[in-house]
Amino acid sequence: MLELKNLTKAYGALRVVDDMTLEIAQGETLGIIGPNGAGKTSLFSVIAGQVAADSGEIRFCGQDVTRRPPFERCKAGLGRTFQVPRPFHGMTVFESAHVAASFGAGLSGQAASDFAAQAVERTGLLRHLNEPCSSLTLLDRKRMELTRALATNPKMLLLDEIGGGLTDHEIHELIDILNQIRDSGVSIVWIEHIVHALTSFVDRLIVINFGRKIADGNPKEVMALPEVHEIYMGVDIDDAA
Amino acid sequence: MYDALTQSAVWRVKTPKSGLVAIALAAIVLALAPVAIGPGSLRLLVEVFTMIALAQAWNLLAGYTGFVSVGQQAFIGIGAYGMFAVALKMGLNPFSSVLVGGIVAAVIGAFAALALFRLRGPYFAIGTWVLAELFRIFFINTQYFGGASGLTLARVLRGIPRDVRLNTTYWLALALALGSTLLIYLLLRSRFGLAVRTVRDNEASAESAGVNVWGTKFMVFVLASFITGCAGAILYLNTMFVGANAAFSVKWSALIIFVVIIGGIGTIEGPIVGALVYFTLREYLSDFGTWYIITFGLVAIAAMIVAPQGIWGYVAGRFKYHLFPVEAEISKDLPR
Repeated sequence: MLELKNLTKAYGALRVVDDMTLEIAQGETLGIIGPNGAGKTSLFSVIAGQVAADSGEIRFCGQDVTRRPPFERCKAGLGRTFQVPRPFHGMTVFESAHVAASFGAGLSGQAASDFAAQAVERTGLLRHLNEPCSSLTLLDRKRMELTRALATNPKMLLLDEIGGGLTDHEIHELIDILNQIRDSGVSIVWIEHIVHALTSFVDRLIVINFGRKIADGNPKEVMALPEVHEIYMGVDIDDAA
Repeated sequence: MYDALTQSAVWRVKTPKSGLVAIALAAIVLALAPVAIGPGSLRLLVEVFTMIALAQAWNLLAGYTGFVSVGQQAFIGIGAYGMFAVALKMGLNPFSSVLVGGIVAAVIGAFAALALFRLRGPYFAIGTWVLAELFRIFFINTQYFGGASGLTLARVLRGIPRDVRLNTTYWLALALALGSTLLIYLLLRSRFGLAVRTVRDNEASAESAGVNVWGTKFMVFVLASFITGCAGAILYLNTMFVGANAAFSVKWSALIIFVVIIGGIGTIEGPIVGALVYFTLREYLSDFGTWYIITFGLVAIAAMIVAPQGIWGYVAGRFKYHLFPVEAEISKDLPR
């Protein structure tokens, strides 16, 4: 579904995405881990189009989207959330979802309203439906990121640390939501520091360091690799995260 | 992707009628005004109405889409010169030429956008001002457009009775004020309006919700240029004389910004309230010379301290009331 071929992005001498080749199948769930500054978020930005790749190719659903603007990638089915929430301050929760349903999912009229309201309900923000996004707590702003991405009716979701700062209980709720989304056929790529939550959810795990993929495979096997331990300097992985 | 939530209840976006009723009432009452009031008051009302249109256009740019222009005078001047040129050189009726003025402004706005959109924030603002200066210098130095002495409509208006001229100008201005208010209101309540507001709030999020940010900004800028161009044409139809130094003066932008800020930026009511406050002050204070400018400054400072959201922003916040609610409120209708 998503294919990256030798994707590279550098700022001066710093390669934040370095010769990345990766394939993600439909319905697959992929976790991405790596130390701070490894290039995880940069990889998302290059895939979703906020940052242009220097070289390499991005194919999504068989189409070359390497040079397409982000809104077209969104319409093609690539939904993303931002690590630091970027809500529409002057708009309500419903309106934020509605705009995604209208433009991202391409719905109009009653269908758009319904789809937006459903996305809001799925992520548990229904009681804030008519409230401005500026009044949401940090936690709810993270939910709003997911709501907006969901309301675009994505084929693939790129989730950037959507579980950060959540309690164990809230993480379980989030994973329940994500399970439902996966079951409806959406691929999920999830960057997360809470490794135990991530490994319990994803089919496959990759590790990134200095913009390069250093491990790729079954989550348990990847976590057991010596290179991965080395990055976390021998500390118990959950604590290091 | 998902089944309908509950089949028995339907999500409904409320569609308030208050704004449309207000515009309809204003249209009826104000259209009849020439019967009751004299030429001096009519001329003043033309100024008020064109200012409302100018303020609505700037508010659409700055208050709803998030880009601040201080070069609106570029489009005022182009609208005016466009109208004068077709009326004088091609013999078109000066009243229908107003529309031509607006279209010329929109076309130039479209080309200007290609360059201006490369600039952001304060750089964009300065860029719009530079654009206006370019046009001022161009018109001052072009004999075809009368050069430094400007153009007068006296020749083409000679055959038209004074009453007809005054009343037609008045109705044009009224139509522009109400028309632009209604158009912008309906636009903001549509799905395009949602896109516009996301661009103001966060461009990256807007793109990742599927909004074409550049295209949205472009359409808004062209529409604002069109409205501003029509307003410029009507302003100078009212005075019958246009000179480049006055038409392309940055004072226009200062005035428009004053009106929108005082009235309430980011509301449809704000530009109307602001225009009414400005002209009331001007009519009462113009005899006091420099004091009149100083008073404006004091009013602006007072407004920023007491009501940073402007007069209408203050009223709306206090009484939770909007005549023109742009925000879509949703509720679940129970089955009947």
